[in-house]
Amino acid sequence: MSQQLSSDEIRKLCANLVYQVAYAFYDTPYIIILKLMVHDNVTTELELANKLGLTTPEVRKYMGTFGLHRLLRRHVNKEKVPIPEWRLKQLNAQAQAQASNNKPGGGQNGRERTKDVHYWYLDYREFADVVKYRLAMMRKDIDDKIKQEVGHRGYICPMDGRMYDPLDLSNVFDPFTNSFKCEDCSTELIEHDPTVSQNGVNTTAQDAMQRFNIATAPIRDALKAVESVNIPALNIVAWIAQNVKTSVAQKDGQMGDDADKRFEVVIGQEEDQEEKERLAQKQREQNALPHWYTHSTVTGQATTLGLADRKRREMLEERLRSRKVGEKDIEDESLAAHYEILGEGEVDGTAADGTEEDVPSGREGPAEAQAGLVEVKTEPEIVAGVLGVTEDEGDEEDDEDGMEDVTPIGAEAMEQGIPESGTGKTVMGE
Amino acid sequence: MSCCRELTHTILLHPSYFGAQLEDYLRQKLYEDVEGTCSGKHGYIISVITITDIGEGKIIPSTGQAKFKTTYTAIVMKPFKGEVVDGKVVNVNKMGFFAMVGPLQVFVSCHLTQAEMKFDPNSSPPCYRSNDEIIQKDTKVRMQIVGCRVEANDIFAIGTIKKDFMGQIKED
Repeated sequence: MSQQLSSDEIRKLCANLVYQVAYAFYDTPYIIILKLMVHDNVTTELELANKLGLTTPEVRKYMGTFGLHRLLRRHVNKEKVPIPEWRLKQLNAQAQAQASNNKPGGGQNGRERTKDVHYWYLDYREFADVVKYRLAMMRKDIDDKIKQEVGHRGYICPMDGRMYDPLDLSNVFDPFTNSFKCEDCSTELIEHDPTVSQNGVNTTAQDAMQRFNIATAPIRDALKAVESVNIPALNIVAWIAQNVKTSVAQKDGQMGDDADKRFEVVIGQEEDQEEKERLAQKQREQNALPHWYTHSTVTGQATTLGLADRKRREMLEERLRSRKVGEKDIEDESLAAHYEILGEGEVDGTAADGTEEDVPSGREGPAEAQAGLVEVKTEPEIVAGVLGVTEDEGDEEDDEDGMEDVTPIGAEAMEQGIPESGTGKTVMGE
Repeated sequence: MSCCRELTHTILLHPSYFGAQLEDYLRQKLYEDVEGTCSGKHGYIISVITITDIGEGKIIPSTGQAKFKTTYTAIVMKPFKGEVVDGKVVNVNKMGFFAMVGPLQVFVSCHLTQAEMKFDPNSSPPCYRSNDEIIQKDTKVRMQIVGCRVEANDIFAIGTIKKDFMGQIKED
């Protein structure tokens, strides 16, 4: 209960500090923004713009000032945002204009786009530090000014107003009257303090410090109050992870890149495990029981301790071996899947040629997909080339396949060609 | 700050001094000419220590005077801003007091004394008085130079005693 109360109080103290600073040093728009920031703590530029009824660039201008003054902090987060309808239509129109057949895949991704979203938030600890520093600098400035003006203090002739520097005094000293006399009119000089105006009222530097102290008293009080308490820090990354649903990372997870991701992770883990295992092995070797523990020094037989140790070691080795085998299986499977995908891609690619539909489908037969990949590329050459030449090539299996697949097409072509010519001839003949 | 410096001075000697006593005359003339003078470059020349080279006399045709370019080593004293010096008060008035640091005159304004130090015009001689200090004529004071005005043949400085360990030097 008391914890709740105190944290509430802390928030109130922090808010008070922010308000004091805002009202003391900033114009109305800035005050409003700071108040909103205290209320929301974290906000995006868009959100703020909507609340204020301003455009985002205007808000950014104001926030930029705060950023420059280091009162607010910015965090840029990459997020997927849906593209608005009108923009989508434009894009579609463009896509159609391009008229490329590879686009449909990209079209689905195109409904959303990655965008930098600027988050602004209040870090009260930094805010307090910045305010403290700036107050100290202001005080130092005023102090320097006062010191400087004290150095410029001189003397003035009340009659003709001629001013004298303290360093001029040696010339105007009159030993008879034991005083300083004006060089022109021999009137006794009086002190002149540039910080004091004619009617004896302090004007600038002298009471500047006083006025400064009075003006900043509320801020200093607020600072003192905040000083003693433990201000809760805000972790913006954590906050975004909790409160923002459309960050890129999450979207990526939902999309089809899963397989790739998992693949990478597996590799990482593998390396990690290898490293771990290596370390564990090292440690095991280091911690291995000495010979005189595991074996009797008299009879040379294994002791109970030695037997237990050996058993444990065997178990470990077995576990290791089984794991390695398992890993290999996984690797093979994923590799096979990968090659399968590659093979399919090839099918699509060659399908465009149309005439050779049979050839690649026949090629899928061989287990080594990679070999198939190479062959497919050469296929058009084979087909286009003279059939007789391919027969001479070395690899028997491939040759047979080639023969089987290619010859029928050739035969068909021949058949088609011959009858046509035949009919032509017959017509001619007739 | 005081230090030794190698300086040169040109002496013109009237022909009536040309004789056996020539060197003595030259020395005397050098002492008279330079000791106690002040130049903006070197500050006050307090005293000639040694004469390194009396120089070769050259007769100037028109006048018959001999010109000697002498080199000598002298103690010079030049005040610097920020330097702490000890001096003796020579004059006290309501604006402040004057103190002499050797040949240098330093003025300390009443604003550059401790805040509680007040001018007492009724005492004789007039003085500045605080709880534990009295500054009047012939009091020894320690002050810091805050500004210097160097003229062709004089230097004037203003000082402050508004700092720790400044003010009256009490002799036990």
